[in-house]
Formats: sequence, structure tokens, C-alpha cells
Amino acid sequence: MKILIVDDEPNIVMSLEFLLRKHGYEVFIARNGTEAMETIRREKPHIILLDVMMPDVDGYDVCRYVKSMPETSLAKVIFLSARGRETDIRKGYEAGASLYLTKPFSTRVLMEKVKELAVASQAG
Amino acid sequence: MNQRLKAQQLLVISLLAGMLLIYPVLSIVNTPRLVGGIPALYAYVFCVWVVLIALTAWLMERYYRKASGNENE
Amino acid sequence: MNSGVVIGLSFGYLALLFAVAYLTERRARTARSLVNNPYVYALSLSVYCSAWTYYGSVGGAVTNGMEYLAVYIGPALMAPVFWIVLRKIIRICKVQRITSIADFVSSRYGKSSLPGVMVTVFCLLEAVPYLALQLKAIASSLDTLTRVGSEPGLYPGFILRDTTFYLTLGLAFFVILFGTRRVEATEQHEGMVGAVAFESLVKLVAFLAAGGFVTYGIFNGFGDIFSQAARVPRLEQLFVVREPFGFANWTATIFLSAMAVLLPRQFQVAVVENLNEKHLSKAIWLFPLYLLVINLFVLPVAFGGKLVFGTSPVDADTYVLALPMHFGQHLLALLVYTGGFSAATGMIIVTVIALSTITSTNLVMPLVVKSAWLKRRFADNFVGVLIYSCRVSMVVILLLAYAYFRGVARHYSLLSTGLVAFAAVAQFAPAVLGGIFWKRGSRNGAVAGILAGFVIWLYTLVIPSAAGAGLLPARLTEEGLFGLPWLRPVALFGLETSDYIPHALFWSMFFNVSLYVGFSLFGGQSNLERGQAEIFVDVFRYSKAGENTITGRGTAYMPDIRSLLVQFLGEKRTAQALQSFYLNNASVEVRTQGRADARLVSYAEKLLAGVIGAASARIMVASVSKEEEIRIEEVVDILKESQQWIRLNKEMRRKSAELQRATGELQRANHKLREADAQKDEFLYTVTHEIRTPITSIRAMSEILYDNPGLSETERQHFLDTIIKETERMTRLITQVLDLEKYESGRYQLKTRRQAVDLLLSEAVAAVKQLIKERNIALEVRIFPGIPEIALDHDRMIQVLINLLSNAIKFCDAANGHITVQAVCHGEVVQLTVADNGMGIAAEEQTLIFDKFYQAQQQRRDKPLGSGLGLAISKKIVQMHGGNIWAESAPNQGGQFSHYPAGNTPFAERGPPNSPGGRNLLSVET
Repeated sequence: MKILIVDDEPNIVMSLEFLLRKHGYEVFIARNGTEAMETIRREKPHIILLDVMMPDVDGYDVCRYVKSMPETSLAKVIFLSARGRETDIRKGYEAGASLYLTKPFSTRVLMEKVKELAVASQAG
Repeated sequence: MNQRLKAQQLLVISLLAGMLLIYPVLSIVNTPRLVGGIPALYAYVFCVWVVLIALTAWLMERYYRKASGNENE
Repeated sequence: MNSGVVIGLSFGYLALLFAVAYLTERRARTARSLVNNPYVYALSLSVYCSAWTYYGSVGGAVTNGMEYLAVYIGPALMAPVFWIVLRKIIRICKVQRITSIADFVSSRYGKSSLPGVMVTVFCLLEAVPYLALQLKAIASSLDTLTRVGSEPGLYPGFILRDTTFYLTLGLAFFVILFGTRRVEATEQHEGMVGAVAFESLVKLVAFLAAGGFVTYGIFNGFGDIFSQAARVPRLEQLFVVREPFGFANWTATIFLSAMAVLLPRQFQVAVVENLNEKHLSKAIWLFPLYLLVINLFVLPVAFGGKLVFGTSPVDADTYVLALPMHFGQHLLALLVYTGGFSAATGMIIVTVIALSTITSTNLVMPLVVKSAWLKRRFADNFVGVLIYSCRVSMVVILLLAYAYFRGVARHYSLLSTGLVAFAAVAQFAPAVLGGIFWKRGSRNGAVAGILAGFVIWLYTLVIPSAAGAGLLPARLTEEGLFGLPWLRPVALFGLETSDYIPHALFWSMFFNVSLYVGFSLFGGQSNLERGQAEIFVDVFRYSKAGENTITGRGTAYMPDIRSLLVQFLGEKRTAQALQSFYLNNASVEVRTQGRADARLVSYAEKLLAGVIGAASARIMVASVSKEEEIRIEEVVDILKESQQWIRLNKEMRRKSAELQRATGELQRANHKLREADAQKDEFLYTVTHEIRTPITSIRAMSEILYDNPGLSETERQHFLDTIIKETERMTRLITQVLDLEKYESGRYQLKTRRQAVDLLLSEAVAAVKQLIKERNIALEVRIFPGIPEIALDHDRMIQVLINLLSNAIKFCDAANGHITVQAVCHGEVVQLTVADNGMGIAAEEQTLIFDKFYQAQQQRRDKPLGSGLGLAISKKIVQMHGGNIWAESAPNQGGQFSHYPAGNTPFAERGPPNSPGGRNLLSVET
């Protein structure tokens, strides 16, 4: 199960990477939208943890990109964003996300959801 | 100088010279007489032509010195 | 004359042209451009004077007297109006990246390919005979030069022994080399322009030399020639305008030649190759002056030739050459030949380049992008298709012209072919002029008008002249089509005139204009047409926004747009183009790269239009984007609404000025309040976001520590350490937010006292000394003598300096750090500078970095980062001192921040002096 973390905040990336590896997932990291799209094209991850505000391409666009490509359209996207306005959240779901978590989030909840999505993704 | 005004001045120069260089005005000088050793018609056409150039140059160069900013209308 | 010399001279001259073009092109890239001035521009316009002028004028003068002058009077009369018409066309073409007359018509009428294809075909039909004419002029001048007595000279024999054929090949090589170097047709061909301007000079000098020789060498000045001519009745007749030439012909020719700016070659030099609109202001009198000067000696040469040669069978078209030959002036004859060769080759070069652009962008490209199969077939190599279609069409056009010259051209005189070509391009005039001044002018009108004009042109000009040359049965002109007298090509509908030209001009223009106006008035326009009409007619209003004019609103993704651009422009050029776009639209664009912004889509379309023409670019962009209808209409509506609103407003103001003023003030106040409110909201939102980020890390790590008791000691240590750092980051942030709020609200009062700058600086430096030592950075403090004490709030200014210093420490070169702190004094103004040798601050970021929460691109990538408030606070503090702070830098050359605290006199803002090594500068001026 391949998981991609996209965030420009090294400490958040570090913690998520630690947790996901501990749960036995194969983890990839991208620090901005451009890198993310490259990694997505190359690795075709099953789950993507995606920040919204990034210096170059924003998370919504990355998500739409994922959903628009036939070979990755089944990947699950979880938004992790400090933007908590209702419009931001709606935009996230409209872009095709499976889940939108507002920072600060609980890593426990996140891990639960990742596990559920991983199972769903394997079943589907 | 006002751009619009200048465009109108140029247009007038062009129209005026145009009128001076076609029938019927041209028929006035349409004679085989020589003026200062040169056929009248030939001399006339070149004179109008020179005045046309001089007027245009005067207008444009004057403008050039006066203003060098706003080139939009 | 020895034919070897003449042939050698021809090819030598061609080689010289290569050299001139090459030199110009090299200089063009070094910013000491040889062509970027109005004089070269005016000279390049003079490509108008082709071999037709050079040799044909004299011939024309011998048969019809003044007639030849009409061809120059037309453009001379038109020249002042260039400033109105041509300037507008140039602006439109620059904004819309239009590369030819065909593309212009296609783009104006809804980016539809049909009008473009029509114009292309007609241009080709008109230009091939015209090119053949130039080849004929070269061939017959070669013949005249090398003729010995009645022995024929170098006149074309077998094709492989025909010098003209090899010269044609040489020209093909030239146009390929200097005409297709770059894909983007909007890129100017400086080399070509340089060569053509040079040729204009050569032909002017040569003709004046010949004219001077005839007038003052053979005869005794103008008076002598004319008085001798006046004694010959056959020549005296030429002093006046007579039937059959007549005034109608004179006027028609003036009109036709006034429209000659629409000739593909004139459009190319006047519009496409124009480097600066301002050049027009000189060119509109220099160009007619050139025409005047080159025509001064035509009549004397014509009369002189007639007086010298009398009835001997010397072709009047070759008098310029034959007279020096006759009097044994061989060097002069060679110069004259070179001039004529210049006139012919200049015309050929520009025409072929213009035609090949037209053909490849308006004929080949629409075919390729419209056919799914061709599109797939060439998908990876559009650039190749473009360049090769351009090159192939160059060669084909030149060979066609050569074939026409060999097969047909000998039947026609120099003058008639030229005027027939002029009459053809005059058919574009209603669509072009209507297109830039009349918003209602529609595509259907343009298509119908041009088509009708052309049918009539063919019928009333081409057919009679072909019949006259014996290429068609004469019955057709005498009895009319199907034997119907009212269909006689020379007297259509029974209209009898003195000559073909006025007759054809009248009928073609009558139908052309009527259909154009009629269809436009009684038919509709598509949305895209209306949008383009708006942009063309009001170009001076829209182009202020530069590239920003949105012509459509498509939803497209950045990767798609990018790959499209790469397909046509190549990787490097695409990167440059995108970079320049972001530079020009810096503040808005940086964040929304993912889904391409509407402005970017429109920009991309224009870039493509410069390569493949407007119609094809439209199709390509539409293929990667989902158009939501055409939105220019919306733009126009908004514009109109606001205009209406302004009108209404004016009326209201007239009715009750007082009330209006009050309302206005209220509105402003309200607006200000709302703006402030929105700003505050945005600020709070950003602050929350900035605080949420460290909290997220802290929470995640705390949970890890809590849930994983088995962590190793190093891991635990690492997580705890990070938690502490993140907490510090949050504390810092909160303090700074509060600080900033305090300054911005005006609650903070400066506690100023006068003090010495050197003390201030050393105190600030001392505070960061430890850090500087740790990082092994070289520090240089330079205080220029004579700096007065200045009044400032000591603590706040120290805060600013420390902030600048710690930025410098953070961003200076990691291995060989070097920081310079400097104080200088310019009159009353003191400038403090903090410079480092780091990677520098990009030009577009130099103001942005002072915005709240803005962090330079580079910085965002390399954590750790500050709160993003330090510089905003510094700016506020300096401003409270009445000073100014700014940054200066060349990227990759280190950053320099500087600073002007001041005395108590008012301070003028001024640029900081060059700092050591000219690096990065952030300046404060108080």
C-alpha cells in the first residue's frame, strides 16, 4: 500500500512519515504541488495526504489532477489543511477528496481513517 | 499635444494634399508650358509633395520635442 | 561587357547581403541593434520601390508621361494617415500576436480560418506574377549589360545555363536562412530587415547616380532636357495628363497604391517587423521623402533616353542602364545594375518571407490542426512541420515565380503586372479598415466582400490582360462571356471607361464594399467575433492592460497548457514565456498555477497564435480546455455597464453637486471601512493558519510520544526537541502579531532622542555577534565620516537592525558568509545598509517581502523559517520614523537590506548608492 504525504512543513511530514511507516505502509514524500504531481505520475500511490496551501500548485488542483488521470483516479485523497472555512472544506470535497481534516488534527483519527481507506481501496 | 487633435491634423493634411493632386485641381496646371525650365504639371506635383512632407515632418517633430509620454489615445 | 564580371558581381552582392544580414542579426542580440531606429524602419518600408519602380517607371514615363508618379503619390498621401491606421494595426498585431495580413483578417473575424485561407490564396495569386516580374527585371538587366551590339546577351536560354535561375536559388537560400530561423513568426527577422534597408540605400544611391549622370553628364541640367524635349512633339505630349491615360486612371492608380500597405511585403516590413510604434512618427515623413527623391530623375532619364536613342529599338524599361552603357560608363552601369538588383531582391526576399508565413500559418496549420489524422501523425513534431512547411513554401513560391517568368511573364510589361497585384490587395481594404474602425463588420460580410472583389478582379483585370497577351481568345473580351455584351470584361454592365484599371477598381470595390457592409448590417456576429471586434476597434483602450486582455474563459490545467506550449515553442522558450508572464502578473499569479488562470490561457493562446496563426491557436487551446461560452462578451458588458454608470453619475453630479459630494464621501468612508474590515479578517485568518501549523506538529508529536512508549531515547529526544522549537515559534509569532498590531493601531508612541549612528550600529552588531561567530561569517562595518546624530527611537531601531542582521545571517552564503553593514550620509539623509552574499531576492519579490506573512520563494523551500512578520514590523517602524525601507538585489548575488534613519528635516527618497559588489540591498530611510 503506497501512501504519499504532501506538505511543506517538515515537522508535520516527519511525524506522519514516522506513524505511517510504523503501520507498515510504503511512504513517499513531496514538499510542493509540482513534486507531488511528479510522484503521483511515477508511483501511483493508493492514498494521498494532501496539504492545501503550497507555494506553487494548490492542493485542490493536485487533487483534481489525481482524479482526472485514469490510472490514479481511484486513489483516495485526504486533505490536511489549516484552512477551516466551510467553503474551503466544500471545495475539497468537490475536488474529489475522501476526507477533509482541519489542522490541528488527531493523528489517531487520521490513522483510523487511513486504515479504513486502505481496506476499501484493496477491496475495490 | 492632444493625440486626437494630432490625428485630425494629419488626416486633414493628407486629404488636402489628396484633393490638390487629383482632378479637377490638377487640370489647372495640365499644360505643356515650362515653369522655370520644368513642365508645369511636374513642378506643381512635386511642390505639393514637398509641402506635404514638410508639414508632416514639422507636425511630428514638434510633437516629438513637446511630449514624449502618453502614447495612448 | 564581360558576362563573368556581371555574374560575379551579382553573386558577390548576394554574399554581401548575407554578411549584412548576419551582422545585423548578431548585433540585434547585443542590444546595440542596428535596426531598432526610425531610419532603418523607413528604409525598410522603401522595399515598396521594387524593380518595377527602378526600371519600369522610366518605361512608364516614356509611354504615359506622369502616370508613373501616381504609384508614389498614393503612398505619399497615405503616409500621414499611417499614424492613425498603421499605428492601430501595429498595436493590434502586437497585442494579438498577428503575423500577416491573412492572420489579421482571420483573427478580426472571429479567428475563423476561412477568411484567412481566402486572403492567403489571393495573396499567392497576386504575388507570384509580381515576383516573376522582379526575376524578369533581373534577367533583362543582365541581358542589357552583357549585350554586344545586336548579339543577345545573357538572356535566359536553357534553364541550367540561366544565371537568373541560380540567383533565384541563392535567394531561396537567403530567405530560408534569415526567414525561418525562429519558429515564432512574431519574432522579428532583424537580419532580413537590415539587408532590406541596406538594399534600399543601394538602389537610391545607384538611381540618383544614374539620374545625375544623365541630367548633368549627358545634358545640361533639368532645364536643358525639358527644353529639348519640348521641341519634340511626341515628347511634349508627355508633359500633360492625356487620354487614354486620363484623370480617371490617375486617380484610380493613386487610390490603389495608397492601399499598397496591405501588400504582404509592405505589411511584413511595416507591421510585423516594426520594433517600436514610435518609429512611425519619423517614418511617416521619411518614407514619402524617399519616394520623392528616388523619383526626381525619372522624367529626365526618360526624356534623355528618348532624345538619345530616338527611334532605335532600345526598350524604355532599360534606359537607366542603357544610357551609361551607351556613353561607355561601365562602372556606373554596374552600379545601376546593382541598384536594380537590390530593388528586385529586396522585394523578393520580403515577399517570399511574408508569403511563406502566410502559407504555413493560414493554409498548412489549419489543415493540420483540423484533421485528426494529421494532428496525431505530427503530434510530436509540430515545430518541424512549421519550419519545414515554411521552408518548402519559400522554395515552391520562388520556383513558381521562376516558372511564371519563363513561361508567361514575357507577355506583360513591368507596369501592368504591378497594378494588377495592387488591385488584388486593395480587395482586403474594406475588411481591414472596416475591421479596425467598425465593430459591426462581420465575418460573413468580409468573406462575401473579398470573394466578390476577387471574382471581379479576375474577370475584369486578369482575363483582359491575359487575352491581350494572347493567352486567352480575344473573342472573350470583345463579345463578352457567352456572347453577352453586358458581360464584356472591359465594360461590365455596359460601363465603358478609358482603361481597365478604373473600370475594374470601380466594380470590384462597388461589390466588395456593398457586400461587406450589407452582410454586416443585416447579418449577425458570433460572440467570438464581437469580442475580437471590440478588441480590434478599441485596441488603445484594451492594450493598456497589456497581455492581460482576457479573450476567453476556459478551464484548463497547467500541465496541459504547458505541454501544448512545449509542443510549439520548445522547452526553453516555454519556460521563458511562462516566467515573463508570472513576472508581469506577479502578485496575483504565484499561487494559482495548478488550474491555469484565465489570463494565462489567453496568454498561451496568443503565444501560439504567433506561431501557428490565430485560427489554429484557437483550435489547439480549445482542444485542451473546456470553454464556458465566450466570455469576452461579459468583459465588454462590464465595460459598457461601467461606462453607463459613469454617464449616469455625471448627470447626477450636475443635478446636485452637494449631495453627490456627501454621498461620495460616505461611500469612500464606507468602502474604506469595509476594506479595513476585510483586511483584518484576512489577517486574522492568516494568523490562525500560521498558529495552526506549529500546533499540528506539537499535537502529532505529543500523540506519538504518548502512544509509543517503546521509542528509542534518541527518537524521544528528537520529538521533544522539535516540540519545544515549535512552541518557541508560536510564542515568537504571537509576540510579533501583538507588536505589529500595536504599531498599526497607532497606540505606540515613538520615544525619540538624538543619537549617533555608529553607536546604534555597534549595539545592534553586538547583539548578533555570537551567531556570527558560530556560523563563521565575515562581518564588515563601514561608517562613513560626517554622519550627523539623528533623532530616533533607540529600541525600535535596534529591533529593525537586528531583524535585518538576522535575515542576513540566515541567508548569507553558507560556506563563505560575508555581511557588510554600512552607514552613509547624502545631505540630510542617512542611509544604513545591511548586505549579505547569499542567493539574493528576486526582483518581483523585493517589495512583497515586506508584506505580512510573505515569505520569499526560496525561503519557503528551506526551513526553518521566521514568522513572516519581521520585515513587516521593520517597515512599520521605519515608516513611523518618516523613513523608507527597501530591498535591492540581483538574484544569486546576495541580498542587501538598507536603511535610512534620518535627522529631523524632511527626507527625499533616493536610490541607495552602489554597495560593495552591487549585491542585495534592503534599505531604510527615515
